[in-house]
Amino acid sequence: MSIDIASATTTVPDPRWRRAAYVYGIVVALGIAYMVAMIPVQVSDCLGNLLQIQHDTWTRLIVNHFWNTGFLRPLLWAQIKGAFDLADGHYWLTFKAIHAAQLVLLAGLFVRLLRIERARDFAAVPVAVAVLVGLHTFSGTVREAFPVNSFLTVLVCTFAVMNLSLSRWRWWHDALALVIYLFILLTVESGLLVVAALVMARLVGLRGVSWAGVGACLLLTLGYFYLRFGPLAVGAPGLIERSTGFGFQVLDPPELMARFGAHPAAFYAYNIVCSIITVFFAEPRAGVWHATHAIVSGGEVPSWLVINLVSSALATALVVWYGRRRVVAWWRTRRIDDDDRIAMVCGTVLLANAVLSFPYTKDAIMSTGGACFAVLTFYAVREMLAVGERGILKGLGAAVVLVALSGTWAVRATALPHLLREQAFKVRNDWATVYPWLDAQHIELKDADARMLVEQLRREALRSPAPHPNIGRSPWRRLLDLN
Amino acid sequence: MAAVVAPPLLFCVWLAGSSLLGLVHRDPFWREEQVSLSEAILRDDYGQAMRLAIEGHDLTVPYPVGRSAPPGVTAMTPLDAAALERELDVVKALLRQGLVADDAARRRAACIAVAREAADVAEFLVGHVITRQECAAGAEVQR
Repeated sequence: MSIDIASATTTVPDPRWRRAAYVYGIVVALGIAYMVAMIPVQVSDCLGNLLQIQHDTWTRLIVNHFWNTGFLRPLLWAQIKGAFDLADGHYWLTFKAIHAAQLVLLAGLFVRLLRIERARDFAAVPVAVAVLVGLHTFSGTVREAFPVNSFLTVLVCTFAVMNLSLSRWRWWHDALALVIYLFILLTVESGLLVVAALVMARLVGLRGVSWAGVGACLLLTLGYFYLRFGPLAVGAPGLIERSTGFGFQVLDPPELMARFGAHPAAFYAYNIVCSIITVFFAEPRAGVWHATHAIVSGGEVPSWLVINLVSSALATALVVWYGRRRVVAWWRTRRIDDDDRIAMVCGTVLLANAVLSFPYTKDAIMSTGGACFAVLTFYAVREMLAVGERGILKGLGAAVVLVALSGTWAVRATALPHLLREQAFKVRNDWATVYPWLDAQHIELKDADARMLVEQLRREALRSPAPHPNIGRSPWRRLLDLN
Repeated sequence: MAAVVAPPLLFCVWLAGSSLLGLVHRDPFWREEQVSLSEAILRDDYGQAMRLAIEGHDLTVPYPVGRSAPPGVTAMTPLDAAALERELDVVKALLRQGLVADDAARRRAACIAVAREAADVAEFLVGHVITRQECAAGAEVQR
């Protein structure tokens, strides 16, 4: 039973609303998974990986990737190898099944975190899911796969430990949290978000993982940094890693070195700030201030950009409003509930995600932070729905805000399937010219297995349907962010 | 509350419906327009073009082209279409797929590429730098 402080009533949870929320989330996840499955196994960032691991042993693969420069991701390669071996020739089916499983798991973890108990909770779920999948930070978790999408893996792992923390403590929670953390930490650097979530969860009073478990993860973190910057000498990603946005343009590594090589701190600070702002205001994008540039230069601001800015501003305003109400409530009562705790963990993870984005900005890197923003939006929408029930004027005001929010985010979410369809077209085109691409990349197909792998993937890709994105475009597509 | 839920619910229904239709191969969202090999190249739909090539379509003959072609042109060979699009990789892919282009076909495509300022395509096709004057002279000789 929950006590609704705002309305001073008690309500009995109705599990049907929770089940309905799970069904809704999983239906959306499966729909997106279907669209993802229509994209062939990609060429860039994937084919080279598959050729590399084709005849590599597990031991050599994992050990070798402990000594890279800039990135420490041995278990990412283990996952690629695992998926490849598991596929046993059925590559598209296996890789897409893994991706679909991740999406369904994410849906379940996301809905569980929202703790749906009654009708008003459920009413906020569709908006929250629209924010989750409509945010530009989410598309990177579904548009690509290498063949495993590590951004999505981080998101799933972070939400998994948040759910563990939210639950009642069991002895195996600590072990599971440690295993998840070790797994994701050696998969991708953003795995550090897991320990941020665990520590903050424990600090605010979520007891699903004990201090011993959190302490073990912190020790693991210390060990990780010691190894990374010590004996393994992996270091941190530098300015030479890739192009990234700055101001109104994208800078290549030589330009970045020229401008910031001597004093990179300012550039790193820029990246962190941009990563935070992009989640709240849909601007900048990958460090480039497109909308600002359009407005300042007097150029046309596209319809999709207006929708992005309005929807994000509305959601952010609502989240700030909700946050203020909860702070005032805490000031009066000196009490917080589990929703407040989860909100604080989400805020922490969002900020930690931005800090981890210091070397370069990329929308997909903020996917976990973006998902946390969707959770915060859920709380805000639910609170606004509750306020709207307390009078006609309040109801009208709440309705106007929420319908505008709901409508704009539904439009943003609708862009995702179109993005995936465009990606399918692009990937199929890549396969059409894969052999010249391999020549240009100086990738040699050393044996018959390599040639067979490429030819199999090529033929599968060319057989897949991929409508031309620019043929038969309807006018309303200008409302969609297809970037 | 219904007005708040409705827009994202519509999105969910559309997504689910499209996926279900797709499972029975009736998904309008993923329906492709079938075009000729050359028209596919002109539309930058290299995937469909190469699929048609793999299916055994003759790579040496002209195919009907529509609105993507220059004014007055109603048919083109795939090689000419790739040259018109300045796509060296597509030219290479066609040759790798089994296109046997004689000297005349290569020269014609090279001249199309030169007219489109794609010197790399032209040079690849004929093995040397070819100029517009040479192309014009060649056209005169043919006349």
